[in-house]
Amino acid sequence: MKAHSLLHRSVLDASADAGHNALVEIRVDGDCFVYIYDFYLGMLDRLAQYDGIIIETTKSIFTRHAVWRIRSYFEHNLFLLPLFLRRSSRILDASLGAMTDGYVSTEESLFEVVSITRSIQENREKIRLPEMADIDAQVILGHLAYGVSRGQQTIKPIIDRDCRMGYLYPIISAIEANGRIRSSVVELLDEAESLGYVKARMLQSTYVCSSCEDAFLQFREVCPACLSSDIVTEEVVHHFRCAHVAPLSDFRQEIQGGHILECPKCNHELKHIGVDFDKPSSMHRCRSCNKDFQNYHVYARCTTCDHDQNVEHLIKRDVKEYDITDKALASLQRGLSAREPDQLGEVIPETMDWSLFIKALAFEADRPGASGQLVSIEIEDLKGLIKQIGSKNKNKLLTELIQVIKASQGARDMRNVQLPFLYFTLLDTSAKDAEDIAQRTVFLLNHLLKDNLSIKQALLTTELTPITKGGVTELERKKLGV
Amino acid sequence: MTLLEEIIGYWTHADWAKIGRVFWYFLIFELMRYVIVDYVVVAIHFLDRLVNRKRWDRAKEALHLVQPLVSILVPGKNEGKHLFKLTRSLAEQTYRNFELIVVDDGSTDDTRIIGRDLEARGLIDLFISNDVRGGKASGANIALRYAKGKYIVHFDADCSFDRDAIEKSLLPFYYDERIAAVGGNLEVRNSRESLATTLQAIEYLKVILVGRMVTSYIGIYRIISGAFGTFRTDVLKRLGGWDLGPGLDGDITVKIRKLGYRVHFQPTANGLTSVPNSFKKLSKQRLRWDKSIIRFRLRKHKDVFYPNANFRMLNMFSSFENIGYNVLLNISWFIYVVDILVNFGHLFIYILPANILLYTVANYLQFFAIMLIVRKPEEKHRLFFYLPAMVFYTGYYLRIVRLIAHTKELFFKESYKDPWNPLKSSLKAKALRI
Ligand SMILES: [Zn+2]
Ligand SMILES: [Zn+2]
Ligand SMILES: [Zn+2]
Repeated sequence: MKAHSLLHRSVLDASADAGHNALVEIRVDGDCFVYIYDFYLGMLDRLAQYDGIIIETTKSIFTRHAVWRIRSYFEHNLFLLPLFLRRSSRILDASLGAMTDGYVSTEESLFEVVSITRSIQENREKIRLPEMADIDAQVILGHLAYGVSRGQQTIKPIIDRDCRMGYLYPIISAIEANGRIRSSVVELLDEAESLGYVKARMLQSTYVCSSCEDAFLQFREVCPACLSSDIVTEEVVHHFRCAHVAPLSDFRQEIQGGHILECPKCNHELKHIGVDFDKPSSMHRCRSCNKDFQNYHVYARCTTCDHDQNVEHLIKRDVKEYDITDKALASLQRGLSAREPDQLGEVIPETMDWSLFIKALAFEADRPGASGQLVSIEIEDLKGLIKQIGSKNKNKLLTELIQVIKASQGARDMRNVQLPFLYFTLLDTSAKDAEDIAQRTVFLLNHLLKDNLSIKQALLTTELTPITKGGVTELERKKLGV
Repeated sequence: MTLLEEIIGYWTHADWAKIGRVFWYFLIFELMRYVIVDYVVVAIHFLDRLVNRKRWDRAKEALHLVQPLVSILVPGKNEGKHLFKLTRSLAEQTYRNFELIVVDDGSTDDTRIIGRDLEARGLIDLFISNDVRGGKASGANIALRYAKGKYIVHFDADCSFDRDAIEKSLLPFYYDERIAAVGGNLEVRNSRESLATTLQAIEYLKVILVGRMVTSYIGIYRIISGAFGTFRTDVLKRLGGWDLGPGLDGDITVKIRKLGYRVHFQPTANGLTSVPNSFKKLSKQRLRWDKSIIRFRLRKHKDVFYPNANFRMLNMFSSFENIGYNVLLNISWFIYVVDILVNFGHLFIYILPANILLYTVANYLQFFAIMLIVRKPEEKHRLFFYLPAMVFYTGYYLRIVRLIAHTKELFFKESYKDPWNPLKSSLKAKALRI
């Protein structure tokens, strides 16, 4: 009863509020929910402090917008919050169900809301979602975290007519819809698979527009010659005794009170199908150009870009579901360090693994008579850079940068990528020479970024340190973010 | 004295009366028909070309000016594997204004997939696929119904054609407007495959080229092979197309004749066809062909012998020649064999080798005539060595097959049982006695 009256009162309060940005708090059993209308346009940050969100639904377009906004809002991990809809009438949107955690209708359901919220909170406690430099990586992990927090082992596609590919994957699709990532949903999921975070399982295939890759197409049968849809179909009749074959209408004779079938070749009446005649096939005729044919073409017009195409030219897409792997669970539970974003990436060729690099540096520092220098190059605004090129191309770019660095080094020299830093050694080189080499290398790297790849911001800053025991320790500390 | 010397000795001392008595069959039928008539026709052919050259040139000009649409009909069952090659062969034709209509008559292999694919790629203009088999005639008829061309070319899917074959087969329509059907010449493609195909290659050259040229000149040309025949669409549609097979090639020709049109053989329009590669398969094919002659000449079109309004002397003669050549000639040969065995049985050892020798010489004489008009004669020199074997092939093998076929058909109407037509059509045909 308490819950009911609470809900009831707050609804009245909210209605009384003239503005669209009213926040009403509802406390149930020590949990504090925030209650908003689906046309809420206020700051989302304000919602993050609550245990869950209840949205009053008015129009499904508003509801969808509100849900999508919340589920794609990564600040304060808002997208992970339990989210419930209070529905006055039935909502005909399968995807809304998949993007939210339940519905509030009766007073009893508020207790269910609490129990769902508790269970999500419990799951969330096992997860430490890291902050990533790479937005794509952030999205992938966020998506996985969402699944895990909801106790799901599989990320399932939900059929959805407002999503470009016709299916959505709860979090990633919401973010894609908000235009916050460069890569497509499919590309991101493929990347997640290549990283071993998910294991894809083919569910079915779907066809998308060859021009804009949208799944919303209108199909129609057309004449293969002129593409008109004005087609009539007629059965073909074979008269056994004279071997005459023609469309049914050739045989039709109107008589008083009906019609008979009479062969135009031999003038015999066709009485019994199977005995006198049969219908071996049927033919289509285009009323626009008079072409006869048996196989019409099927054309698909894209409802998004208006491109009209033969269905044979549509792009076939696999719709998959993704099992979250143990590796992903382990990563989420461990809470990846913010300084370790390229754990997500593959190994860049010609570079050393970090621990090996450190060991080699320590070994070099110990070597009597050694006079090596360690150059560290920091890529400024790494986030911005990756946004420009897309996370998929990140490793390609790094590989090219490393090649430039390698060209300026000696045979024994080493390299390591520790984003946003690139480290490389200049062994047996004086500080003076190393300075020159480092400057030239940075010039070349900037040149590569700006002129060859036309990447807008191309700022690299360098630092030069002699390879000593102290220097190596310093480096390790820096990496750990101490 | 050896046997050879004995034989030579015997015949050098024989008088002409005796030779005439013993070799009457050869002298009356074979020498006349194959050697004398052939040389006469070859002479006429060259003369005709010389005299009518301007007229043929005008026909060619007219054809090039009009460029009528031609519908190529290729009905068949399980012919998918040949279709791509066929479209390639057609793509190289000098005559360009044609549409290709392929009918899949209830195929049980992947013909439908192949046909649809070629249609989608624009290599076939209309691919008609029947779910249930209707037989050769119905397949051709459905294609005819949807054909838009002024002329119809009927092809077999497994044939290939000279580049100018279609053009050459259209010329006669512009040469003589009474011509409503033109038969093309067919040679054997797989002649090197086996002895059976080699002998058939010679047979095709002899029968189809010279035999058909002869009948065409006399005006009694009777069978336009379905493998390569060209027709006026309006005439075919007037006839309602092809009737229930077998033997529909000969049947349609007779029907066209009955309408008063001429049927022409065009030796320069060349196609190649594959023939059965073993004597076993060949026998089956010939049994079917020979049975159809009885069925169509003696049963269905026996009216050509009746003096009614449609009576035309040439039609009767054409049918008579056909029956005569196929049935009576065959029977008289067996009479001849019996005559020799009964009356000259003791001389058999002298007569047989001499007969073989005579036939071989006649074959060579005839082959020289063929070489005068055939295209690419140099490719046919190989066949020279097989000519002696032809004595046994045409003289004994084909005759025996023919006798079996005629007996079966005349007395047992066996052709209704052939898998030529689907059961539904055969039952109907037998019930209606057609
Ligand atoms: Zn499109
Ligand atoms: Zn059309
Ligand atoms: Zn009929």
